[in-house]
Amino acid sequence: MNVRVRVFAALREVMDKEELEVELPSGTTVTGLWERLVSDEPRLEPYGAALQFAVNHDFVGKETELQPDDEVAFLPPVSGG
Amino acid sequence: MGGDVGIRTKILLIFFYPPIPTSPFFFLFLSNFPRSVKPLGQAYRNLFGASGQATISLAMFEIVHDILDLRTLARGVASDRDGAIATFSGIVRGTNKGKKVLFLEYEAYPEMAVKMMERIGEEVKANWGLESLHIQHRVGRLNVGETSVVIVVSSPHRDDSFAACQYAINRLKRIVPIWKKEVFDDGEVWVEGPVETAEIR
Repeated sequence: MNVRVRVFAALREVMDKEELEVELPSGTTVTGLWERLVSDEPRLEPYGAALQFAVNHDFVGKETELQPDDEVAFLPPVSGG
Repeated sequence: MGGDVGIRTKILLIFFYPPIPTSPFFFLFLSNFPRSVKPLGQAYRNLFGASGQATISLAMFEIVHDILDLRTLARGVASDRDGAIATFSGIVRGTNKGKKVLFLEYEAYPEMAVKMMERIGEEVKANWGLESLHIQHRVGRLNVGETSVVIVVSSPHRDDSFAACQYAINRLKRIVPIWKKEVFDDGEVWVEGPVETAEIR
């Protein structure tokens, strides 16, 4: 299955892109997807501890199972205002 | 307590209470319209329509790239039912932790940011019964002194709008996916807010 990945702030700068398509085995969780991204780009690793996750614009837990065509976002601690 | 009320809030409370068309301050209010843009009569008709009812309609929750205008937003929430409008403006500070800030870069996840602001609107409705909350947050490069976020909410009496306004900005800082980068003359850093995932879900 394919999912769309969105990254922001420091993550966007490390990856040098705002979004990407990733092909995953069915049953992959949010954490599994993160580990995949880190294996492709090891400089992401230090950001993992403080991340929040969203699927289709709602916060989710890291063990959430992904569905085809989900939009998955990796969110550093927010700092708006 | 009262010492924290911004001057703009006080001014708006004066302008909007009692409801505008019957207010003794009505002409004072009108005198503040930008006359350079349109003749006064036209501005009045644009705002209230031929019937005298307010016709301004604004998106309640927005991520914008342009300069924020608190007064336009505040006009949009005025209603006959309400005697108070509370407002909050977030301003770019010139220093943070003793370092001189040159400017800030704001970035949002716009689709989710609007959705989370809508959630704050629902929470304000559930907690205070108010449906008038409006929030605009600006993104892009902001210089020191510029406004990054404006929040307005109206209520029949002032206590509820003060409380709802403070709630909204505190909540925004925790659940709305927006980030800011502080740029100094010797570097830059992404600001990180507190992580409280348990509260969010």
